[in-house]
Amino acid sequence: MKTRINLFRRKPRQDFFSLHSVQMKQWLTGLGIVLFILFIFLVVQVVQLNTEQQKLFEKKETYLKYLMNEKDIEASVRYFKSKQTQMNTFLKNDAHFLPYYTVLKNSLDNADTKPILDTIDIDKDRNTQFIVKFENYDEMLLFLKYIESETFLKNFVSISLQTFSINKQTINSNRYELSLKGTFKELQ
Amino acid sequence: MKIISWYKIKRILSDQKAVFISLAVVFLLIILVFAFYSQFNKQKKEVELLQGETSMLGDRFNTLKFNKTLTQDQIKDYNKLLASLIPETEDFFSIIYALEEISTATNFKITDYAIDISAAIKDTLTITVQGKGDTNDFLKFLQEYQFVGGRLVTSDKIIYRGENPGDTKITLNFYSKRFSFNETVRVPQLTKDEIQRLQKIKEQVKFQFSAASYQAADTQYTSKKDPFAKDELQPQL
Repeated sequence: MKTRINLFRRKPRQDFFSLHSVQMKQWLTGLGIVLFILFIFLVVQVVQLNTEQQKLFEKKETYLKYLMNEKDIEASVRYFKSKQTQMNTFLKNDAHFLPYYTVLKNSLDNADTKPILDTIDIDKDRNTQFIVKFENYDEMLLFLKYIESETFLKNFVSISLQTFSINKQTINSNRYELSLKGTFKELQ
Repeated sequence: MKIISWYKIKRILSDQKAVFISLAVVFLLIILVFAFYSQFNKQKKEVELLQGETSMLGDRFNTLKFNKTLTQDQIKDYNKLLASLIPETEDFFSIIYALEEISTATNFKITDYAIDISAAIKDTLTITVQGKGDTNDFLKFLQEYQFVGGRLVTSDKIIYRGENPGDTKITLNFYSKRFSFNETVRVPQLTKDEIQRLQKIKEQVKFQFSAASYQAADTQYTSKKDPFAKDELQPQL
């Protein structure tokens, strides 16, 4: 049997690249386009960030120049605020005697009897102790009723009668003394 | 046995030029994308950091500008007043002067005072004073004692004897405290109320400020290279 070789016949190539070249070209083109878009996007972003960075540098420089020129004022403001904070803190130690004294004085003036406020002691925690004096027993009794009324009690967190005394040395006036102790309600 | 012959490689390369060029371009693009992505990230962090710094400086800038407008360049006067109200160190003469000023301004005569130095606590000196005056004088005293003497005065206990005004006992506190500079703390923004309050106090205080009573925080200083060098710090005699 004779063997013939057909020299015009082309044997199909069987390597990977020949078999998948079309799909590979399609995939590579698709991937290339995506990567190119991503690349362009990143370039734009970097350029924008660069511009922003430049603007921020300029802004920072302007601020720093101003702050350097006005550093004495800034130091003064810090001093001012620090001293003012100290002042506000120290003022918390104050008893604020006047407003509470006024509250008590007004309360006593509202009573039917006119007691004489003899001694008053107020501390920074609004604790108070005061002595009121009366000319006669009836006035004192009226006052005792008054201090149980809401008009008087509304100013105090607590109030109690400490002592009652009669000063025999004073014959005509202010013989009767009441000592009360309590705590004022905080004024707004 | 040869698996891939040189001839075959050459043939594949010549047949599939377009594929290999595409592969090379894609590979190049991947490298570029990664390079730019890392550059983008780096720059983004830098910009964020810079934004933070600029925003902080911007706050300082705006606060300072606002404060400057608000105080109308009177901040140094206010500081002199505050330095007088709460001096850096205790000064007994200014306490005595303040007591006299209070007495004169309110007509409530301070007849006696006692300083218990052993009972003094940090930043506070307590004086018990005995005063004399009618109810009006006493009320005026109560209205004005806090600032009128040129020193900040508070009272944590007042015992008023209505019938014997001469026996009125008042515990007065005088304060002194050092100013500590802390740069890390934000520059505070002053308010209109604060300035108005200081203005009111300023109007109450009648004495003249001495130039030495307040010194602005010194920001002009040279850095010292050798902390042990003897020639830089000489005691002032």
